[in-house]
Amino acid sequence: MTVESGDIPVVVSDLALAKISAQAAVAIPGVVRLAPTLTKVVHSALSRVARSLTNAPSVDHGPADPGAVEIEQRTDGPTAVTVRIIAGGDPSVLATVDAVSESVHSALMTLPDLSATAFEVIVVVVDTEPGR
Amino acid sequence: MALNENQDAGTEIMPCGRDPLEVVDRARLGRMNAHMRTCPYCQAMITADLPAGSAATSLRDESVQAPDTLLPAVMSTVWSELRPGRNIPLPAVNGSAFATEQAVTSMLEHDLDRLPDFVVHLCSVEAPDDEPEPVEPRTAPALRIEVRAAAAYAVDLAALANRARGVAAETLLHQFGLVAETIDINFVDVYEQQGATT
Repeated sequence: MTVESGDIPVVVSDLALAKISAQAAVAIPGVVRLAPTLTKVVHSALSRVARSLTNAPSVDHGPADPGAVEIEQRTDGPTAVTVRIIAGGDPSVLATVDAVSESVHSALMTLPDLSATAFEVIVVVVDTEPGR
Repeated sequence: MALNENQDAGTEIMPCGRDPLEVVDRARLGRMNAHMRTCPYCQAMITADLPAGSAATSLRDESVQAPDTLLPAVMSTVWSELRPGRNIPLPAVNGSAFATEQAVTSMLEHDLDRLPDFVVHLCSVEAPDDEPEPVEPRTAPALRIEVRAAAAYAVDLAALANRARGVAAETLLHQFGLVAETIDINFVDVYEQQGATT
């Protein structure tokens, strides 16, 4: 997506948005880890194998896996940012998703000159692992 | 001698009239003819291909070692995505939020298993399916919960079922802000407590 900074447009890739969102989400208490989709897991695994074959440096995103964030650019509305998490239940799942949503939204708002309605953050609790 | 700058090895014919790709292929297979052995253009192309051919052979022969973490990561995701279940909208304050039926089930099983004299065998959560899955949460749906469990010998099953219903309802409300339309507790087995005398 393109954001404006003064007179100069700045292009921010979906991957950059996903990384910003993942970083903001994984830091929230109650988030055990992020949950990438199967497609992203397979893609990531294949990339690792390809990199090891070509001796390219490996890319380790750590716990802030951008594969757990889906970015959907909409022509008729705000950009949808879907974050998939595994919740621990302490604090409650509901409090956790609210905190994740707020944190991700705030992180994305640090991009220059975006209106508060530029993004819709959707949090999906894929599973819970109580006590983790 | 080398190809000139504008010569694309994939599309151009060399000055000697040979297709460079065919020359390289034949050389790699060890089927060079007399012309290829003496032609400077063909020889230059074969020499230029040596590093690539060597690298390709090396990659082909190299055993691929999958990382130890690969299989668990893939299978964990496979199971979570293959489990049937709907996304249940949560009454979140900030933005939209959903929990999978599996997420709710895991939390219920964890809390119910902490009840004395009660062991969960199976817990299922069903969101109403008489309306399409909402695009965004409006109101949280009332859920139907079914728990199959074992109870300790000689306990009051009715009282135990009531306690289990209370725990399930409290977990749903506290953790997810959800309510249950029904909570069915089915005792499918009994067990003898360790240390109990019969």
